[in-house]
Formats: sequence, structure tokens, C-alpha cells
Amino acid sequence: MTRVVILGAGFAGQTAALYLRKELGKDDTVTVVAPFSYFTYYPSLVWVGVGRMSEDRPIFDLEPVYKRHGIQFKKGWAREVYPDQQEVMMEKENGETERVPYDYLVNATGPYLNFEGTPGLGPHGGYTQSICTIGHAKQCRDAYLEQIQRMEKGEQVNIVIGTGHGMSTCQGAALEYITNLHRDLLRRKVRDKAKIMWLSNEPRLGDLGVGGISARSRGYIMDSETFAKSLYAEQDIYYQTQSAVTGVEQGKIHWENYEGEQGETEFDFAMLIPQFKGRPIRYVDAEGNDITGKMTNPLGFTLVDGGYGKPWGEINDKDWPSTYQSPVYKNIFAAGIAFAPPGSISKPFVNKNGTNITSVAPRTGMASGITGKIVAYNILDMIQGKEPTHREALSGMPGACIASIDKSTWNGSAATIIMYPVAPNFRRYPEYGRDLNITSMEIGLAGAWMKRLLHTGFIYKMKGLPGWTMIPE
Amino acid sequence: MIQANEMKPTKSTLFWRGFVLYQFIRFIALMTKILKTAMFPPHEKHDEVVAKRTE
Repeated sequence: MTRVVILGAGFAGQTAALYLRKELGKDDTVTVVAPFSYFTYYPSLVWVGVGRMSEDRPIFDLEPVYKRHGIQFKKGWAREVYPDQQEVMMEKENGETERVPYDYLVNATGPYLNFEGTPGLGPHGGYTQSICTIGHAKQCRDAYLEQIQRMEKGEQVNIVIGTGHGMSTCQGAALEYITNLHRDLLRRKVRDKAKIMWLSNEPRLGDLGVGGISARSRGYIMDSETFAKSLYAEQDIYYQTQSAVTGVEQGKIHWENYEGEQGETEFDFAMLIPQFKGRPIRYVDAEGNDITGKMTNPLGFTLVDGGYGKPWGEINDKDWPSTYQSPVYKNIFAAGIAFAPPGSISKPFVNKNGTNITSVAPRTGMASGITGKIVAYNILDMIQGKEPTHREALSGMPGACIASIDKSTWNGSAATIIMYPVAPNFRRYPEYGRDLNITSMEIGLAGAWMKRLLHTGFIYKMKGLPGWTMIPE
Repeated sequence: MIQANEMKPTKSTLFWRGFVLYQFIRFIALMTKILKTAMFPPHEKHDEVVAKRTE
């Protein structure tokens, strides 16, 4: 009998749980430990954040799914892992703790939203909004609708969207939010009352944390900087990149840029993505020593089979993790945002004041699902007495970013960005690092349909309904 | 804050972005590309090319 414990029920955790349950025998157990008993389809939270989708649409209850598939569910936070005893200590809602034994452990806990990293950031006691959880998206929508009322009365409003820390990631979500917001203001006929601004830590516009993208377009090679500039010119959006938000107070965002200059941007409404860190889980060995530093990097992401410790310019395609197995304890894996990348994809930068302004590599959505599946199949390999044989690194993994510009399937639109691979692979593709036969960027109604199809398709898959394996990650 | 003023789409581009028949073709093309890349990533093919190049 094999016991697999999965920490987290997001894209990576849910994918791993479904594949493991499908392949394992009746005597084996798959247990998911997560603080919430519902699954959130995060890409649709942008629509909740502008009031274009009700809050119950991107989420569904996990318990019926787990009951149908025979997956055990324990609601609570994973606090400590004892790799030598092969146990996880979880804390329940009522404060009680429970030790859950495992033979294989998957850390798919997703990000810890580090709002504390920027004073005044975030919806909990701060002055800015976020769309990183369903609760945040609802708060964001309410704050946005308050501004709509002001605009309808004829007041001018400053709106700032982007990243709230020098080392934030997930610029794609913020991009999607800003384009939806523009379209929603147009729909409400108050666009002329808003000055919309993009403030981010990207080295250049359109970097999106993946070092920018190049694609063929009508006989030219166009990069994502031109693509984003064109989009912002069309939507009359002001932008400022190479900036780390250092603090927020009522109506003012403080930032620092590459040159070390400090400045402020006034705002009435701001949605800024915080820095992502690994979930704070303590690893304790048989002697009671804290070995968290050996298991995770300084940001709390789990170290796996990557080539860590190299300077940015020396990281190559082979340094990206591919089996997601811990080098210290072979029965521990990490998937999704929880695994530590070997470095950023975008060029890192530290200004003269020592402020790190670096877009961290995104590992959300498609990458999370793929790593969840890889981890599941590698655990199955190990159960059969083999070494992990399944490999998929970000430097060999496709990525798609569909930034919707309105939800409507009739007159909506979306910027569809397809890239292969996510992390540029200059060994295979020496000129641009990516396959130009696959990588593409375009805007149109087709993107809106794709976004809608992905919403429906992924929720169907994550529910484990008949034929779910046919839908790729 | 910078205000971009380059590569604004022309009326023709805006028309094609919303033209249902053309967008349906683009939808099929993009979905095919995503599904093909997700299900059959071009690892082997390109590794062979690189191997040949280095021989």
C-alpha cells in the first residue's frame, strides 16, 4: 500500500491528485491537504475583478470531486514536514494539529502572497487591491465599482495597475486586468474620466517575466515590446517599467527605478500583484534540526533537480528542473509555483541603492498543470522501483498567455501569446531562443473564444469529469 | 509615465480582429497550434537538428 500526500489543491496539486488516483491501485491512498475545500480557476479572476463575472463561476467545491474519485481530503495548512519520519504536520481551522504519514509527498502549495514585502500593499490593511484569490478579486471589484460611481458623477480618477514589488511575477495577470478594465470603462462610457497607468518591474514593456517574446508578424520579426506598446497606444494607457514599488500610502505609490531615482504616483484605485514567495513550511530532520534551508531557497521555494547557484548569464536550458524531485529526499517532489527556478528568465537588475528590480519567472497555469502531471508519473515510476523517467523543463515546455480584452464572445477580444519554450532555449534556437514556427502574438475575437473555451475546458478537467485526461494541461 | 503612440492599429486591422469568419479560421489555427504543441512538443525533432549541426 502506497500513501501519497499532496499539499495544495491548485492547478498542480489537483492535476497530480487526479492522475495519481487514476493510476494507483485501490489499496493505495492519495490525500490532499489544503486550507480551502474549493478549486479556483485563477485566470478568470480578472473578470470577477471588473464585475464581469460572478464570484461563484471560477470556483467549484472539491469534496464531491474527491468523493467520486476516492481521494482523501484534509482541510488545513501544512506547517511542518518531517522527511525522515515521512510525516506532514498540518494545522486545522480550529488550531488542532494532525500528523499525516506519507510514502511520497508533493509540495504544490502555490504562492505565499508577500504583501508585507511592500509597506501599504494589498487589501488586508493596505491601500491597493489584488486579484490573486477569489476573496481579493471580490474586494477589488467592490473598490473598482466605487470608482465607477465617482466617474459617473463626472470625477476624474487615476488608476494604476501592475506589480507591487521589485521581485513580483505574473505580469500577465496584471496585463489582462488592465485591458479588461479599459474595455469595461468603455462599455460603461466613462473611459474619458480615467487615466490608466501601468507600473511594473519588467526591464521593458512586454517582458512578462519571460524575457520578452519574438514572433513572426506579416513578414517581420516583432517583439513583445512593440506588441505591448501598440496595445497600450490603442487603449491610451500610460506606462512605466523598470520600477520597484517600495511603499504605498493613501493615494500615493512610492517607487524606485533602475537609475535609483525615487518618485511617487498618485492613484485612486490600484491593483498591484505582490511578490510571490514559497509557502512557509518548516522541514525538520530526525534529530529535530530545522533543515528548511537545505530544502528550499531563500524565498521558500522547494529546491528540486535544477542547476542552482549559477549567475544569470550562465543559466542554460539544462539548468531548468525537469523531474521536480528533491535531491535531498527522493520521495519529495514540488510542482507548480512551489518549485524553485534556477534564476529569473528576465535579466535581473539591482540599482545603486541595492533595490532588486527583477521579474521572477512565471510558473502559473499551463506550467503548473504540466509539472503536476510530470510529478504524478514520476511517483508512479518510483512506486514501480524505477528512477523518475518523465521530464519536462520550462526550457522545453509550451506556454500560452491569453490576455482577454472583454469577456464577450460576440464583440470581445484577447491578446493571444503562444510561446515555445517558456524559458528561452538558445541551444536549440540560437537566434531568438524560441521556435518561431510556434511562437505567435495576435489580437482578435478568436482569443476571446479561446479564453472562454479554456475556462470551461479546464474547470471540466479539474472536476475530473468523463474524458478529463483528453484535455491537455 | 510614458504614453505610447506607436503602431496603433488601422481601421482595417480593427475590422479583421472582429470579423467573425476570419476569426473563426484564426481560432481553429491557434487551437490546433496549442494542442499540437502541448501534445507533441517538438523535442526530438530539434534535438536531432542540433545533433546534426554539431557533428
